[in-house]
Amino acid sequence: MTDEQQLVTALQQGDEAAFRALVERHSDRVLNSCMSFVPDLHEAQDLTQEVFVEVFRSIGRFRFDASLSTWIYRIACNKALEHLRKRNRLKRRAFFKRLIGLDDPASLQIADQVNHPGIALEDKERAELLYRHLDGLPEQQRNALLLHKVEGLSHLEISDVLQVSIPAVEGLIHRAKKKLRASLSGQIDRS
Amino acid sequence: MDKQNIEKEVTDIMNMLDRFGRVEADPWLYERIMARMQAEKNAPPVANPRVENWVWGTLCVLFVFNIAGFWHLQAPGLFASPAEALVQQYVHEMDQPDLLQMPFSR
Repeated sequence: MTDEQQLVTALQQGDEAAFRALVERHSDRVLNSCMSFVPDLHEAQDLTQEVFVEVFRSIGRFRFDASLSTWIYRIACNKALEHLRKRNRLKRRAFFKRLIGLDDPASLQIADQVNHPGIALEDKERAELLYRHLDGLPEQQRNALLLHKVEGLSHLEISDVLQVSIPAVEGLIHRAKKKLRASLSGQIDRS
Repeated sequence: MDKQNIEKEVTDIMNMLDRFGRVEADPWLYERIMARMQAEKNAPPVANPRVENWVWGTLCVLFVFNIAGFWHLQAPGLFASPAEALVQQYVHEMDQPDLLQMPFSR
């Protein structure tokens, strides 16, 4: 039995020490993958907690179809996307409330600011521009691009996380880059 | 800005994705997760938003059908096919004595 299988078996039996070991082993990767989708340290830390709570709750359903880290990545991606969808819904609601003259305090908390300790201060404005345009990409394209460029995952690993074929991953990354380049060029040309 | 400079700027921005520094996780993460799970366990049950959406959705549909039904009663034939509308109009006219005073009936 491999080390990972032992860990999963212990987790499935509700062993708290195994859960602590899992958190210590994967916390940095989960936090950084959350930060690549949601570039705000506090939001990403909150998401990281949610990811591990979900891992703890659904470890009983883990069937070794993929490696444990891929499975955790998949949960992190889904949680981050859920968070982004919720934020976009709040933004739309705040926009309509402003249209009809109602002030919405929630809109103050959903500004597209980048608060990523790994981004230099002088690059912050460009990072905000980049994230605004990344938000405009279709979900799968954005996921594939971020996992590849920020997380440095191989096409095979991305295909496992996103549950698509390797040629599909290549296509997604290619289209994402093309679309991102076009929208950034348009924005810079206008300004 | 000329085209070449725009291309360079775009490439610089896109290359930022490769340069994001790594961030270290909170050393107290495990304790925070355990505290969160404990708090969630102790929290009173909240309404399931999906169920709530279904309830509101059903109420909205019922409301729309109600309005449509009321409208239909007020203006018969509004939702009918042309043939049905013609029959309904005929029946409606038969109920109106003044409408029966038509040239051919005199």
